[in-house]
Amino acid sequence: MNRFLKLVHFEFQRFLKLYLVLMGVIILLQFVGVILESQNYLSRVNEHIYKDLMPKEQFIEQFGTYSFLQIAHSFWFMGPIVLSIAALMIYVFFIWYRDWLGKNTFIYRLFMLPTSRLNVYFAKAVVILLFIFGLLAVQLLLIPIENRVLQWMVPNEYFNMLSINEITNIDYLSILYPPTFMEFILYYGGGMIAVFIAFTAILFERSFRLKGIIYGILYTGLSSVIFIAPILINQLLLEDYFFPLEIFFMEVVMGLIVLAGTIWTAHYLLKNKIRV
Amino acid sequence: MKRYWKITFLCFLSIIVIGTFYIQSSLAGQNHIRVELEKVKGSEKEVKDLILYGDYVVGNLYQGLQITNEETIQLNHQSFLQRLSTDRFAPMFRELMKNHKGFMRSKELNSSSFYEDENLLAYANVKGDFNRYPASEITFDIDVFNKKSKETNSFEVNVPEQEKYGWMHVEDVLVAKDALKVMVRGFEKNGREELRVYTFHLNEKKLTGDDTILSSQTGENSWTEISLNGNHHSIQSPNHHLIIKRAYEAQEGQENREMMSYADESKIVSSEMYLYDLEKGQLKKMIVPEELLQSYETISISQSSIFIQTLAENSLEVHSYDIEKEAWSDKRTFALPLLKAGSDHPFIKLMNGKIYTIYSTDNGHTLWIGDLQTGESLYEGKLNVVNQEKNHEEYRIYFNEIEL
Amino acid sequence: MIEVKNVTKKFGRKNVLKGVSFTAEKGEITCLIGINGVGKTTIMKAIMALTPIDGGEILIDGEKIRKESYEKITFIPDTITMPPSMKIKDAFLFMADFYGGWNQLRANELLQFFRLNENDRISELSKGNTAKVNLLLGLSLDVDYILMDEPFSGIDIFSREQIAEVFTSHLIEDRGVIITTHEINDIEHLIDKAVLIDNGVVLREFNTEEVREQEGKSVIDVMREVYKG
Repeated sequence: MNRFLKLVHFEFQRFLKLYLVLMGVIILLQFVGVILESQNYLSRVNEHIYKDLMPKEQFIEQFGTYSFLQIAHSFWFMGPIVLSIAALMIYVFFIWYRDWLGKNTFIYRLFMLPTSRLNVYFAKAVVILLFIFGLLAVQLLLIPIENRVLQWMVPNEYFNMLSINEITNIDYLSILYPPTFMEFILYYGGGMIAVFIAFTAILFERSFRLKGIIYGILYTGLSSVIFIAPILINQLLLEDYFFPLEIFFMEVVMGLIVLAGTIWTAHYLLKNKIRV
Repeated sequence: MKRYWKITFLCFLSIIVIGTFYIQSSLAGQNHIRVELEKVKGSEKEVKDLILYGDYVVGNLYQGLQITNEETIQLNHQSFLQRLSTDRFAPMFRELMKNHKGFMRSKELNSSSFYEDENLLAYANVKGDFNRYPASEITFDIDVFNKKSKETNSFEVNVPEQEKYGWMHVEDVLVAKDALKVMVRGFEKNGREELRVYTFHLNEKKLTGDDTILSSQTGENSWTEISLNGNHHSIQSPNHHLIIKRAYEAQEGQENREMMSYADESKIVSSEMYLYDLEKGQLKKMIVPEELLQSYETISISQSSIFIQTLAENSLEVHSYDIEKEAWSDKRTFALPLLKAGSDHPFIKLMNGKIYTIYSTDNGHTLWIGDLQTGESLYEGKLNVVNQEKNHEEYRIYFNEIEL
Repeated sequence: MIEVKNVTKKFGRKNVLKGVSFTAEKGEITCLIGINGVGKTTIMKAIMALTPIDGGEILIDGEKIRKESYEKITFIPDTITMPPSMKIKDAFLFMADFYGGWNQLRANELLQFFRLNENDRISELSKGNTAKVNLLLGLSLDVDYILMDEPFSGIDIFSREQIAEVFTSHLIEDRGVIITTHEINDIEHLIDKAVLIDNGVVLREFNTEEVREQEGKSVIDVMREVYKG
């Protein structure tokens, strides 16, 4: 357990610099966005009200008030989020390949450690999960701060103050921050199963090289089909025989089965088939 | 040990921030809005068992509400598992699913496809994909559960003339003696509509009768539409179906546009109302005064009468038509205090000989209950929204159902 | 004792190892000899379970390799097994974190001997110095067996002499060493056992001392005989 935690810490340290840069980019772009977007709106206000002499009420009726909703839909806010997601997805693969590529033979060291190789596998997964949660937490802290800044920038009569819950209810944000804690666990848990499947696919490639890519893709496909089997069978063959709650429990079981299978496969590959 | 501070910090930060977020979001869910009924006049027992369903809308926030005298349930805030369970289905299906779980599997939840009485529970639906090419089989899927013998009688029958239809919808199902009657609205591929009643003999599992009650016509610039005044919140069959047949004519100069966009630009040429008794298989045409046909709020059907409600200045007018006698009686006028002119259409429902209406006033909504027979006001109450968040001054509630 | 028994391995269609068998004793320096690409490195990786084998068996002190075995046996490949961005002292910390048998005293001793600084970054070191660090990391572990792959390749003569000095010192003494190299000359006098490999099999496995005494041949003489004859 100790060695496992040390591996987690090691993987954490390796990515930390890039991670902090990513956070810095998010903070910078989002705050710039709050300022620029709100100024944009205000200049429109000025144009219509002072230049065209439109009455305030008419402006509000025609163009609406301003709230965090517009910020959440702006490139300045969404861009960094998309960037982070892309970066993490790339790192899911790079976290393995970086140990093989170039002059680097660090993978030799990882596989010669007096610890189960599965610990290396889990440590990489845990650290990815930690990075995801870290970004989620930071974004969650940024939102009320950005909202407050927005409130300072936009005069009261044009501003609609949204609560944090209303903000996280906005389309894509409600996917990142599901409404209930149970859904949070379910969706991110499911996401982690996907990460494990990706890892195992990577191990297939590293074990069998070119043929391994095919095996990896097939393996991913097979796992996915097994996972959604209950839903597929229910809709295509059984004409919706099962009720939603029943399907849900079946899916949870399927998820666990797929998870166990993936970990077992990874263990087998790491022990018997992997080559440096 | 202290070299681990960065990762420990990130772990704690994540747990605390995300944890706090979910704790406060579930607390906020509990501190929710309530709608309370404040009596202005009348008897409280009228509202004792009432359930009101409404949608609370503020800006882009939408919340479904289920309101009773004791509590207000916010439908968005149900837990994940609750939303998956039968709770999310309409109340009428919840009972059925509880008592007849096996029977309810693989059934489409269309209230008009079900029929229940003390002896049996029946289901009839049109099954099959109309849009598949090459054409797939379209069949009637029929299931009858005998409550006494606990046996289920299931069979499928091919739909006659299925090639000419683009879509079929079951409007009502009725079982009388050994016959199962299914009233279906069929939409033909050429735009024509038909109202057809199919009769099945349950023991022989065969189609024994096929009657077309009404059909529409399509011309070059005119067409007719048939609509049923259906109650979608109950599986009980109405004694009579009210069918409205309207003939439309396209306005001049719109020949080259798609049919779909005619919505506001067509003119109603004629309207007819019919009454159909599914059990007896009788169709009768109703004689309805012109003004009623053009502008009415809602229509309700009871055992023996049809009620058409229209709105006047500050009152609700109920015109009743006796089905047996085929005659209109005088209209009843119910004065609705504080009715805001030009507001959204009020919600009106007739239940058990009483008329229930919720309408918006200058400071909220009022629930008003009147007696159909006597015309008296039985209850008047204000619906107050309590415990709102402070910035929700601009809000609307759209009520869409009342139940006992 | 490390026992390699009848190990076979294919790379794609090519049959690289066709039944390799030999043993390496603790306390002896065993040298695998063969031309480039004959599979010497593959054999070492196979012993370390860094590459799978298709047939045969490899035993270390009588048992198959497990995760605990890595406290008993280590491999020093011809490339550095640490992230280049690390400083030498970071590498030390890493090794100390994971290996119970990490001997920091010996590491410091070797660091001094090789005249390196713990604050040097691995990526900035010369090839010779990198090889020295690699060696250092392996030798500072209190293991029973050390596998070294071409420890002299591409190293300047003076560094080579330094490394050869390590072989004779107490640092190697009672451990079992398997080494592969082209530069037989440098260490011929140090080798206890030679394993000649060609075409996927062991052509001859012999104790250098015995052969010298009994047949009067040096290792290179035997090589000439076996490969040419």
